[in-house]
Amino acid sequence: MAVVLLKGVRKRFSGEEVLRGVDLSVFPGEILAVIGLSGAGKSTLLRLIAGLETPEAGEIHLYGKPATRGSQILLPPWERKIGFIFQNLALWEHLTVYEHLEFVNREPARIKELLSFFELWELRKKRPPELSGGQRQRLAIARALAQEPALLLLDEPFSNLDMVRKKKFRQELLRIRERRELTLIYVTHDPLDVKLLADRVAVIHEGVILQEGPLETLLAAPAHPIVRELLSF
Amino acid sequence: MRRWLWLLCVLPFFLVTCGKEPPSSNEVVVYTSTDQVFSEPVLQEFERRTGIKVHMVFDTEETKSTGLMNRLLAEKDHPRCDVFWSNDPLRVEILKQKGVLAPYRSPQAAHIPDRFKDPEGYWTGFSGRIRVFVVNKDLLSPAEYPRGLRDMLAPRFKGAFALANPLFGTTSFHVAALFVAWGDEEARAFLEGLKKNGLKLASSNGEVARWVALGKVKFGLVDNDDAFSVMEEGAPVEMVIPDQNGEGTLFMPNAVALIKGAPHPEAAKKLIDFLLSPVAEEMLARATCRQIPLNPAVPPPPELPPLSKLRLLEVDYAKVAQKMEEILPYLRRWVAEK
Amino acid sequence: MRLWRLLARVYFLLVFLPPLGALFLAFGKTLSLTFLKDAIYLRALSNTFILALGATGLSVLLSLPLATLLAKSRFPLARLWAVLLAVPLLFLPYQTALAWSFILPAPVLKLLFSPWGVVFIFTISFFPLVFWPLYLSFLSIPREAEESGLLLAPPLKVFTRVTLPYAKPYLLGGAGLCFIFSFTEIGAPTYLGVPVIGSEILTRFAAFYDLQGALNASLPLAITGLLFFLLERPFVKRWEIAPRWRDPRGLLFESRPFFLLGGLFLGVTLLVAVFLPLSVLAFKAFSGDFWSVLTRAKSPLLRTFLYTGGAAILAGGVALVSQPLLKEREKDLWDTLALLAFFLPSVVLAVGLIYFWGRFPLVYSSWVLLLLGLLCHFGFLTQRLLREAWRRFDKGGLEAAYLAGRGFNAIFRRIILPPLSPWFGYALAIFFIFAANEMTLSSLLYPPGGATLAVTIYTLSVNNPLSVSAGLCLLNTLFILVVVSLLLCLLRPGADGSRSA
Repeated sequence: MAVVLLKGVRKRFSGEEVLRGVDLSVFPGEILAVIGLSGAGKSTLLRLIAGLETPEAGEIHLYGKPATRGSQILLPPWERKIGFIFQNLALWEHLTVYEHLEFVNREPARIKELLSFFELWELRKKRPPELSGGQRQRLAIARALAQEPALLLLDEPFSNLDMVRKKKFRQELLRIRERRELTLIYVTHDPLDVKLLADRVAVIHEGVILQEGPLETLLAAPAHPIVRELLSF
Repeated sequence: MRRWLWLLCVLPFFLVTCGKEPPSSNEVVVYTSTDQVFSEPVLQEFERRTGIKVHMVFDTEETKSTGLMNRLLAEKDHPRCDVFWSNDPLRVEILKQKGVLAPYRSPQAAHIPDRFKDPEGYWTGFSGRIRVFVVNKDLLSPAEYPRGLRDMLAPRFKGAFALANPLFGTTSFHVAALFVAWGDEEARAFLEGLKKNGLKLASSNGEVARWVALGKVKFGLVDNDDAFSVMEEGAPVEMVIPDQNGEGTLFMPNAVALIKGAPHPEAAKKLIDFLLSPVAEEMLARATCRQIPLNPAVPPPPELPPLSKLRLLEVDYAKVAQKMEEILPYLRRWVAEK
Repeated sequence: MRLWRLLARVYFLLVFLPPLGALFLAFGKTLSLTFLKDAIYLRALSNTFILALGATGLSVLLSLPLATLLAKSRFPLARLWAVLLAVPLLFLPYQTALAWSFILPAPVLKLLFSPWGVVFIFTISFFPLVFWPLYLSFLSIPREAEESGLLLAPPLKVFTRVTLPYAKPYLLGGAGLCFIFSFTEIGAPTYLGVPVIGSEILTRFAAFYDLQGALNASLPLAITGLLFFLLERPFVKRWEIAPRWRDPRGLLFESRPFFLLGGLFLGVTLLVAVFLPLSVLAFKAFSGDFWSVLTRAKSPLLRTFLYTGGAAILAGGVALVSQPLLKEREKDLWDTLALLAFFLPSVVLAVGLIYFWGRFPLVYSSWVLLLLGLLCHFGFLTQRLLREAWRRFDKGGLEAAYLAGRGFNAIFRRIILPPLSPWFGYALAIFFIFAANEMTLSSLLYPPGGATLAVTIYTLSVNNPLSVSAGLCLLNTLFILVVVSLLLCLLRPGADGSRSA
């Protein structure tokens, strides 16, 4: 049973059609990378899955249940149990590290466990402006995981990082996946980021998914020249 | 767009500087404590007839006449005003005593009775008002109307009447006149009696008239122009002249004076002549304020009895002016302690 | 370049130092606290404090739901309603009180002419000062901060724990402004017969010309002003307003009952604060002799335009030019003085101005004194706005221009001015609105024969047919509206935020 299922999803922004009938399936436990040019609709796709945008047409199913049908949201974002890491992290500057997690899950034991896991327990009274870049990132993940989601979405998670931090982050994500059954979908425009982490990759171009599958398969047999363009170094 | 901006920047200053005429005998500065709505038309009429530009400074309801007097005192060494048109003779008396005025006997003053002029020619009275009661018709029947000042001490009026702050305006004039007419002791007793009888103190005559119109109080002591103003707004009020019981009511002429060291003395004299002329008195008689002219040739307003028929309080303006300064500290205390 | 810098410095020195310095010296010299024993004074002080507090509280209660409705939901024509909610700023509170005294029937009228009435009038006159900062901050909150919350909790929780804390500094800033304006307002309470501290000081000064007495009595007001000035710095921080007009995403309330109730609330507010007063005034004005009102208002109107317009342009122009020319530290200094002058009640400031400039006849009885007063009191508005505009300006482009070897004048005209001109327009508009509706300062400082329309309305309010007062007030509002609209049309930004010449 697919964790995420998109059928014929269309989305329009100020008159322009960004997604023109997207079909996509994501299976439990896998890491899917979505790659495409800037403006191809990658972030929009992610936001649609999270319920932060409403499509014009199509269906979105989550964990086998319908979440969006046509332009009607059947399941609001706060009920979708999805963790989302925004590109700029979207932390709450006025709340402490502890309060970020407390917002989601009141159980002190759970909060302590999560913060310790991410080495943030000592910093629990500090606020985001007082944290380093890496600490802020870990906080963003910790917050996303606080509600025990089955699905984690990441919008260009590697784009602001240098090589050392990228590798650290990748290790972080793999560590998490080991501890729990977690599906990851992340969006990127850099083929290196695909290679770093993904089990499968979906290429989005001009509003549709051109091709999807393991990276090697796509490189060996690209369905379209742009696929090779996007995925080669 | 840039061109617009430059134009916008330059235009105002251009207009203002062009608008400012060079100082000449073609303008005059007048401070007046008579309500702008009545004084402005008269001054504009003067402008029209003579072509002399009049720069006016008016008073506000709260600071009535006291403000301008004090301003003139403050400006004594560098006078910027030419003519002071006061709505009562007390302030000009005080200014005369403090050496702010210059004597000028206008030819037009010949028509004004002597008791309304300064014997040394420092100020001349014209067009006056009287103190009246304004009563709410809905709350009082004619049989119940107050007829004299001492009715304000009557128990049946407890807490139902209003007076304006005696530190300012015509009320200060009236109170000082009472002190002179009745003597210090009796006047003080009267004021204390008013307080004991639940007097409501307003900030101005206009406010007293408003309160009566609203029915907040049953009657109040005001000037006749305040009474006429609320009557014309259609309020259920009537005017009662408190001159039949006892001493008579107070008559308060306007007073005009020339300022010592006035920047435009010639134009100032012309303005004073105009204000004392029948034209100005007629305008003030016909306006809402219904001011009573002093020139016997000018017909008085029909709504008021002629001057000869009114019983007036005898007033020596110089004495009253001095008394007013004397009782100021007492009045301040009286106002403060409620 | 050096000439402009010098001129800017001379301007700031002349405008701010004399009155503030005079006040400082006067307060230090003969400070006597005898006025504290004056029962009337104390009563007025406590009255005013309570009235201002009440009005501020009600304004906050009014603004919160309105801002939420218009910024945090898909309510139709939200921007139109928001602009309409700013209209009360075009009214003199005195005129709102006048209008409501026509509307209310006799038994209720007594309630208007009481402290309750004053709180009511203050609220509907000054609530835009709370509403607009709140509204703008709601529109500026980074939508992802709310979205990350929406994924974790339902909308109401996100609103209270993410949106509101973000908006808190702006809400407090707006509330502070509302308090100060209510605390120092004189026209409306005087008309409604409620003694307030401002009129006490005005009386002491204007009636008795007792400068020392007035200064002493101004101490509580000055202290309040100073307090706000001190609180402003750490509390309100940097102005992070960047409203996303066309992109109302993030947290949005969608419930139907909320729409309906909110719409009703909005309708009632607009009716009470804008439409009823305006239409009643118009009715009263036209049922009298409107033509005579027009003729009477002609000169004061022109004078208001010249004085206030000239002051606005000067204040805005100097603020604009000083941005690239002065160092940040120096700009901090002038901004601080301007802020102080803004929060000081206008009565106090007027006293300081007369104290100093009274010795200079050329200034004292001319329009220059009034101009200086307006520049001193409201200069803060233009300086703050244009400083913010400068902060967002791309200095890299400026450096490129200098490297290209052009002189300052050319760079200012062609690189700096175009993107900043919308801000310049807003600054002028805001300055104009506040200055044209200013009564106290102007009534104390105007040159003989040179009263502005607001002052004329005030002096004419005595024994004047109410239809004339109504007409004048109406004219004042229309006049300000026309000028501001013209200004904003001329300097409005294009779609990409810049203005093509």
